[in-house]
Amino acid sequence: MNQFDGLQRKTSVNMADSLESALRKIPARTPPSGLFERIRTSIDSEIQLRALRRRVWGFAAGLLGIVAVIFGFWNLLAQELAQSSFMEYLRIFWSDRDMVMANWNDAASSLLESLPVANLIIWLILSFFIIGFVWKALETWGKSHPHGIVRHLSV
Amino acid sequence: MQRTDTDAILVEAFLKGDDEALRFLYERHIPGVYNFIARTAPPEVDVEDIVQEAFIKAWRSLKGFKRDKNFKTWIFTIAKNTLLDRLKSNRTISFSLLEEGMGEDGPAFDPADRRPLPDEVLQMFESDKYASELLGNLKPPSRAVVVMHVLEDLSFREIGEVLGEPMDTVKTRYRRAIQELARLLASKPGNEGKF
Repeated sequence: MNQFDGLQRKTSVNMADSLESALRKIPARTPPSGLFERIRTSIDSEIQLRALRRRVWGFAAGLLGIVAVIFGFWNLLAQELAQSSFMEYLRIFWSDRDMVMANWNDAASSLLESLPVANLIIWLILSFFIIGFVWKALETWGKSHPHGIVRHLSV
Repeated sequence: MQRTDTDAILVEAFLKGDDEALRFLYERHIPGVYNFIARTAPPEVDVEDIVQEAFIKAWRSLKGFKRDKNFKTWIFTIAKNTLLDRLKSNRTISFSLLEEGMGEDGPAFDPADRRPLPDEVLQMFESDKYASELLGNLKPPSRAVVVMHVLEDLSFREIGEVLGEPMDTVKTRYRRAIQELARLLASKPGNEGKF
Protein backbone atom coordinates (compact mmCIF):
# COMPACT_ATOMS: atom_id res chain seq x y z
CA MET A 1 0.00 0.00 0.00
CA ASN A 2 1.55 3.32 -1.01
CA GLN A 3 1.12 6.70 0.70
CA PHE A 4 -1.66 7.75 -1.66
CA ASP A 5 -3.68 4.61 -0.93
CA GLY A 6 -3.48 5.40 2.79
CA LEU A 7 -4.68 8.96 2.27
CA GLN A 8 -7.48 7.81 0.01
CA ARG A 9 -8.62 5.22 2.53
CA LYS A 10 -8.58 7.82 5.33
CA THR A 11 -10.56 10.45 3.43
CA SER A 12 -12.92 7.75 2.22
CA VAL A 13 -13.59 6.68 5.79
CA ASN A 14 -14.16 10.32 6.80
CA MET A 15 -16.59 10.83 3.97
CA ALA A 16 -18.40 7.57 4.69
CA ASP A 17 -18.70 8.36 8.40
CA SER A 18 -19.94 11.84 7.66
CA LEU A 19 -22.45 10.64 5.09
CA GLU A 20 -23.57 7.91 7.47
CA SER A 21 -24.20 10.55 10.14
CA ALA A 22 -26.15 12.57 7.60
CA LEU A 23 -28.20 9.54 6.56
CA ARG A 24 -29.09 8.89 10.18
CA LYS A 25 -30.83 12.26 10.20
CA ILE A 26 -33.32 11.03 7.62
CA PRO A 27 -36.70 11.04 9.34
CA ALA A 28 -38.29 7.62 9.72
CA ARG A 29 -41.48 6.96 7.79
CA THR A 30 -43.96 6.19 10.52
CA PRO A 31 -46.72 3.63 10.06
CA PRO A 32 -50.29 4.92 10.08
CA SER A 33 -52.01 4.65 13.42
CA GLY A 34 -54.01 1.51 13.99
CA LEU A 35 -51.88 -0.64 11.70
CA PHE A 36 -51.48 -3.28 14.38
CA GLU A 37 -55.25 -3.35 14.91
CA ARG A 38 -55.77 -3.90 11.18
CA ILE A 39 -53.22 -6.72 11.21
CA ARG A 40 -54.95 -8.20 14.27
CA THR A 41 -58.33 -7.97 12.52
CA SER A 42 -56.96 -9.77 9.46
CA ILE A 43 -55.47 -12.46 11.69
CA ASP A 44 -58.78 -12.85 13.54
CA SER A 45 -60.61 -13.17 10.22
CA GLU A 46 -58.19 -15.87 9.15
CA ILE A 47 -58.65 -17.69 12.46
CA GLN A 48 -62.43 -17.56 11.92
CA LEU A 49 -62.05 -18.78 8.37
CA ARG A 50 -59.87 -21.68 9.48
CA ALA A 51 -62.42 -22.60 12.16
CA LEU A 52 -65.16 -22.38 9.55
CA ARG A 53 -63.26 -24.65 7.17
CA ARG A 54 -62.66 -27.15 9.97
CA ARG A 55 -66.36 -27.10 10.81
CA VAL A 56 -67.45 -27.48 7.21
CA TRP A 57 -65.07 -30.40 6.67
CA GLY A 58 -66.07 -31.95 9.99
CA PHE A 59 -69.73 -31.55 9.18
CA ALA A 60 -69.29 -32.97 5.69
CA ALA A 61 -67.30 -35.94 7.00
CA GLY A 62 -69.83 -36.58 9.78
CA LEU A 63 -72.73 -36.32 7.36
CA LEU A 64 -71.07 -38.64 4.89
CA GLY A 65 -70.35 -41.19 7.63
CA ILE A 66 -73.91 -41.14 8.93
CA VAL A 67 -75.40 -41.36 5.44
CA ALA A 68 -73.15 -44.33 4.70
CA VAL A 69 -74.26 -46.08 7.91
CA ILE A 70 -77.93 -45.32 7.23
CA PHE A 71 -77.60 -46.59 3.70
CA GLY A 72 -75.98 -49.78 4.99
CA PHE A 73 -78.71 -50.35 7.53
CA TRP A 74 -81.39 -49.58 4.97
CA ASN A 75 -80.01 -52.30 2.72
CA LEU A 76 -79.96 -54.67 5.66
CA LEU A 77 -83.51 -53.70 6.54
CA ALA A 78 -84.65 -54.17 2.94
CA GLN A 79 -83.04 -57.63 2.87
CA GLU A 80 -84.70 -58.65 6.12
CA LEU A 81 -88.04 -57.29 4.96
CA ALA A 82 -87.69 -59.33 1.79
CA GLN A 83 -86.85 -62.45 3.79
CA SER A 84 -89.62 -61.95 6.32
CA SER A 85 -93.32 -62.56 5.66
CA PHE A 86 -94.06 -58.90 6.04
CA MET A 87 -94.39 -58.28 2.31
CA GLU A 88 -96.74 -61.31 1.98
CA TYR A 89 -98.96 -59.95 4.71
CA LEU A 90 -98.91 -56.55 3.09
CA ARG A 91 -100.03 -58.04 -0.22
CA ILE A 92 -102.92 -59.75 1.53
CA PHE A 93 -103.90 -56.36 2.99
CA TRP A 94 -104.15 -55.13 -0.54
CA SER A 95 -105.69 -58.14 -2.31
CA ASP A 96 -108.12 -59.43 0.32
CA ARG A 97 -109.40 -56.33 2.05
CA ASP A 98 -112.70 -57.86 3.26
CA MET A 99 -110.99 -60.69 5.09
CA VAL A 100 -108.47 -58.29 6.64
CA MET A 101 -111.25 -55.94 7.74
CA ALA A 102 -113.18 -58.84 9.30
CA ASN A 103 -110.10 -59.96 11.26
CA TRP A 104 -108.27 -56.64 11.48
CA ASN A 105 -106.98 -57.32 14.98
CA ASP A 106 -105.22 -60.56 14.07
CA ALA A 107 -104.12 -59.20 10.71
CA ALA A 108 -102.54 -56.11 12.24
CA SER A 109 -100.68 -58.09 14.92
CA SER A 110 -99.46 -60.61 12.34
CA LEU A 111 -98.19 -57.79 10.15
CA LEU A 112 -96.37 -56.16 13.05
CA GLU A 113 -94.88 -59.46 14.22
CA SER A 114 -93.46 -60.05 10.77
CA LEU A 115 -91.47 -56.80 10.90
CA PRO A 116 -87.67 -57.05 11.45
CA VAL A 117 -88.06 -54.86 14.55
CA ALA A 118 -84.44 -54.62 15.69
CA ASN A 119 -83.14 -53.35 12.36
CA LEU A 120 -86.10 -51.06 11.93
CA ILE A 121 -85.49 -49.44 15.32
CA ILE A 122 -81.79 -48.95 14.58
CA TRP A 123 -82.61 -47.43 11.23
CA LEU A 124 -85.16 -45.07 12.77
CA ILE A 125 -82.73 -44.02 15.52
CA LEU A 126 -80.06 -43.29 12.94
CA SER A 127 -82.50 -41.30 10.83
CA PHE A 128 -83.51 -39.19 13.81
CA PHE A 129 -79.85 -38.80 14.73
CA ILE A 130 -78.93 -37.40 11.32
CA ILE A 131 -81.89 -35.01 11.41
CA GLY A 132 -80.79 -33.85 14.86
CA PHE A 133 -77.16 -33.55 13.73
CA VAL A 134 -78.05 -31.38 10.73
CA TRP A 135 -80.46 -29.33 12.81
CA LYS A 136 -77.88 -28.72 15.56
CA ALA A 137 -75.16 -27.84 13.05
CA LEU A 138 -77.39 -25.30 11.32
CA GLU A 139 -78.45 -23.85 14.66
CA THR A 140 -74.81 -23.45 15.81
CA TRP A 141 -73.90 -22.02 12.43
CA GLY A 142 -76.68 -19.47 12.60
CA LYS A 143 -75.61 -18.33 16.07
CA SER A 144 -71.90 -17.96 15.35
CA HIS A 145 -72.11 -16.65 11.78
CA PRO A 146 -75.06 -14.29 11.54
CA HIS A 147 -73.76 -12.84 8.26
CA GLY A 148 -73.97 -16.09 6.35
CA ILE A 149 -71.52 -18.42 4.67
CA VAL A 150 -70.85 -16.34 1.54
CA ARG A 151 -69.37 -13.45 3.48
CA HIS A 152 -67.06 -15.73 5.46
CA LEU A 153 -65.88 -17.70 2.50
CA SER A 154 -65.10 -14.50 0.64
CA VAL A 155 -62.81 -13.16 3.44
CA MET B 1 -44.52 -11.37 30.38
CA GLN B 2 -43.72 -7.69 29.85
CA ARG B 3 -43.47 -5.27 26.93
CA THR B 4 -39.70 -5.06 27.51
CA ASP B 5 -39.08 -8.80 27.25
CA THR B 6 -36.85 -10.07 24.46
CA ASP B 7 -38.30 -11.13 21.12
CA ALA B 8 -37.59 -14.79 21.93
CA ILE B 9 -39.56 -14.59 25.18
CA LEU B 10 -42.46 -12.85 23.46
CA VAL B 11 -42.56 -15.46 20.68
CA GLU B 12 -42.50 -18.21 23.29
CA ALA B 13 -45.29 -16.53 25.26
CA PHE B 14 -47.43 -16.09 22.14
CA LEU B 15 -47.01 -19.72 21.17
CA LYS B 16 -48.17 -20.66 24.68
CA GLY B 17 -51.37 -18.75 24.03
CA ASP B 18 -50.61 -15.23 25.27
CA ASP B 19 -52.13 -12.93 22.65
CA GLU B 20 -50.75 -9.82 24.30
CA ALA B 21 -47.23 -11.04 23.49
CA LEU B 22 -48.02 -10.75 19.78
CA ARG B 23 -49.08 -7.15 20.28
CA PHE B 24 -45.82 -6.30 22.09
CA LEU B 25 -43.75 -8.11 19.49
CA TYR B 26 -45.49 -6.56 16.50
CA GLU B 27 -45.67 -3.06 17.93
CA ARG B 28 -41.92 -3.27 18.45
CA HIS B 29 -41.15 -4.22 14.86
CA ILE B 30 -43.88 -2.61 12.76
CA PRO B 31 -42.20 0.85 12.66
CA GLY B 32 -38.86 -0.56 11.47
CA VAL B 33 -40.37 -2.81 8.84
CA TYR B 34 -42.66 -0.03 7.68
CA ASN B 35 -39.74 2.38 7.35
CA PHE B 36 -37.71 -0.26 5.50
CA ILE B 37 -40.47 -0.97 2.98
CA ALA B 38 -41.41 2.69 2.61
CA ARG B 39 -37.83 3.67 1.90
CA THR B 40 -37.03 0.71 -0.35
CA ALA B 41 -40.19 0.08 -2.38
CA PRO B 42 -41.08 1.98 -5.55
CA PRO B 43 -43.61 4.77 -4.96
CA GLU B 44 -46.37 2.80 -6.73
CA VAL B 45 -46.38 0.17 -4.01
CA ASP B 46 -48.93 0.28 -1.19
CA VAL B 47 -46.54 0.14 1.76
CA GLU B 48 -49.18 -0.42 4.41
CA ASP B 49 -50.57 -3.37 2.50
CA ILE B 50 -47.13 -4.97 2.15
CA VAL B 51 -46.38 -4.52 5.84
CA GLN B 52 -49.76 -5.90 6.81
CA GLU B 53 -49.28 -8.94 4.59
CA ALA B 54 -45.76 -9.50 5.90
CA PHE B 55 -46.90 -9.56 9.51
CA ILE B 56 -49.79 -11.88 8.71
CA LYS B 57 -47.35 -14.22 6.96
CA ALA B 58 -45.11 -14.02 10.02
CA TRP B 59 -48.02 -14.96 12.25
CA ARG B 60 -48.74 -17.98 10.04
CA SER B 61 -45.12 -19.10 10.30
CA LEU B 62 -44.45 -18.27 13.95
CA LYS B 63 -44.75 -21.92 14.98
CA GLY B 64 -41.84 -22.72 12.71
CA PHE B 65 -39.71 -19.82 13.94
CA LYS B 66 -36.42 -21.13 15.28
CA ARG B 67 -35.84 -19.67 18.73
CA ASP B 68 -32.11 -19.28 18.20
CA LYS B 69 -32.74 -16.97 15.21
CA ASN B 70 -33.00 -13.21 15.31
CA PHE B 71 -36.66 -12.21 15.05
CA LYS B 72 -35.83 -8.82 13.54
CA THR B 73 -33.83 -10.42 10.72
CA TRP B 74 -36.60 -12.96 10.22
CA ILE B 75 -39.38 -10.40 9.92
CA PHE B 76 -37.29 -8.21 7.61
CA THR B 77 -36.72 -11.23 5.38
CA ILE B 78 -40.45 -11.92 5.24
CA ALA B 79 -41.13 -8.26 4.46
CA LYS B 80 -38.54 -8.23 1.68
CA ASN B 81 -39.96 -11.42 0.16
CA THR B 82 -43.48 -10.04 0.41
CA LEU B 83 -42.38 -6.93 -1.43
CA LEU B 84 -40.66 -8.99 -4.14
CA ASP B 85 -43.73 -11.20 -4.54
CA ARG B 86 -45.92 -8.12 -4.89
CA LEU B 87 -43.62 -6.60 -7.48
CA LYS B 88 -43.58 -9.86 -9.40
CA SER B 89 -47.37 -9.98 -9.42
CA ASN B 90 -47.54 -6.32 -10.54
CA ARG B 91 -45.84 -6.80 -13.87
CA THR B 92 -45.90 -3.07 -14.51
CA ILE B 93 -43.04 -2.61 -12.06
CA SER B 94 -39.68 -4.00 -12.99
CA PHE B 95 -38.89 -6.36 -10.15
CA SER B 96 -35.62 -7.31 -11.72
CA LEU B 97 -34.31 -4.05 -10.37
CA LEU B 98 -34.76 -5.34 -6.86
CA GLU B 99 -33.17 -8.68 -7.47
CA GLU B 100 -30.37 -7.83 -9.81
CA GLY B 101 -26.81 -8.42 -8.82
CA MET B 102 -24.47 -5.99 -7.21
CA GLY B 103 -21.89 -3.75 -8.75
CA GLU B 104 -24.16 -1.81 -11.07
CA ASP B 105 -24.49 1.41 -9.19
CA GLY B 106 -22.58 3.39 -11.73
CA PRO B 107 -18.90 4.12 -11.97
CA ALA B 108 -16.93 3.87 -8.77
CA PHE B 109 -16.59 7.22 -7.12
CA ASP B 110 -13.17 8.47 -6.27
CA PRO B 111 -13.37 9.86 -2.75
CA ALA B 112 -9.76 10.92 -2.46
CA ASP B 113 -10.52 14.65 -2.46
CA ARG B 114 -13.66 14.55 -0.34
CA ARG B 115 -13.97 16.11 3.10
CA PRO B 116 -16.68 15.53 5.75
CA LEU B 117 -20.03 17.01 4.75
CA PRO B 118 -20.69 20.66 5.63
CA ASP B 119 -23.40 21.40 8.21
CA GLU B 120 -25.85 22.91 5.73
CA VAL B 121 -25.73 19.72 3.67
CA LEU B 122 -26.20 17.61 6.79
CA GLN B 123 -29.31 19.60 7.64
CA MET B 124 -30.80 18.91 4.23
CA PHE B 125 -31.05 15.23 5.17
CA GLU B 126 -33.65 16.13 7.76
CA SER B 127 -36.03 16.85 4.91
CA ASP B 128 -37.98 13.72 3.98
CA LYS B 129 -38.37 14.87 0.39
CA TYR B 130 -34.68 15.51 -0.04
CA ALA B 131 -33.76 12.17 1.55
CA SER B 132 -36.27 10.30 -0.60
CA GLU B 133 -34.94 11.90 -3.76
CA LEU B 134 -31.38 11.10 -2.83
CA LEU B 135 -32.06 7.50 -1.81
CA GLY B 136 -34.28 7.11 -4.87
CA ASN B 137 -31.21 7.52 -7.04
CA LEU B 138 -29.77 4.30 -5.66
CA LYS B 139 -30.77 0.99 -7.17
CA PRO B 140 -33.16 -0.94 -4.91
CA PRO B 141 -30.67 -3.53 -3.59
CA SER B 142 -28.23 -0.82 -2.55
CA ARG B 143 -31.03 1.31 -1.15
CA ALA B 144 -32.21 -1.66 0.90
CA VAL B 145 -28.72 -2.17 2.33
CA VAL B 146 -28.36 1.51 3.23
CA VAL B 147 -31.80 1.72 4.80
CA MET B 148 -31.33 -1.45 6.83
CA HIS B 149 -27.82 -0.56 8.01
CA VAL B 150 -28.13 3.15 8.66
CA LEU B 151 -31.80 3.63 9.49
CA GLU B 152 -32.66 0.29 11.07
CA ASP B 153 -29.31 -0.54 12.69
CA LEU B 154 -28.97 -4.00 11.20
CA SER B 155 -25.44 -5.33 11.06
CA PHE B 156 -23.93 -6.39 7.73
CA ARG B 157 -24.24 -10.01 8.82
CA GLU B 158 -27.94 -9.53 9.54
CA ILE B 159 -28.50 -7.74 6.24
CA GLY B 160 -26.76 -10.63 4.52
CA GLU B 161 -29.27 -12.99 6.13
CA VAL B 162 -32.20 -10.84 5.03
CA LEU B 163 -30.99 -10.53 1.44
CA GLY B 164 -29.55 -14.03 1.25
CA GLU B 165 -26.12 -12.70 0.32
CA PRO B 166 -22.64 -13.13 1.80
CA MET B 167 -21.62 -10.46 4.30
CA ASP B 168 -18.75 -9.27 2.08
CA THR B 169 -21.15 -8.68 -0.80
CA VAL B 170 -23.35 -6.60 1.47
CA LYS B 171 -20.36 -4.58 2.67
CA THR B 172 -19.25 -3.92 -0.90
CA ARG B 173 -22.75 -2.95 -1.89
CA TYR B 174 -22.93 -0.56 1.05
CA ARG B 175 -19.57 1.02 0.33
CA ARG B 176 -20.51 1.57 -3.30
CA ALA B 177 -23.86 3.01 -2.31
CA ILE B 178 -22.17 5.50 0.00
CA GLN B 179 -19.77 6.46 -2.79
CA GLU B 180 -22.67 6.88 -5.18
CA LEU B 181 -24.53 9.05 -2.67
CA ALA B 182 -21.46 11.23 -2.18
CA ARG B 183 -21.11 11.60 -5.95
CA LEU B 184 -24.78 12.54 -6.24
CA LEU B 185 -24.48 15.05 -3.42
CA ALA B 186 -21.44 16.63 -4.97
CA SER B 187 -23.14 16.93 -8.34
CA LYS B 188 -26.31 18.58 -6.99
CA PRO B 189 -26.69 22.22 -7.96
CA GLY B 190 -25.61 24.46 -5.10
CA ASN B 191 -23.34 21.88 -3.55
CA GLU B 192 -20.42 22.54 -5.86
CA GLY B 193 -17.36 23.52 -3.90
CA LYS B 194 -18.79 22.46 -0.55
CA PHE B 195 -16.95 19.18 -0.62
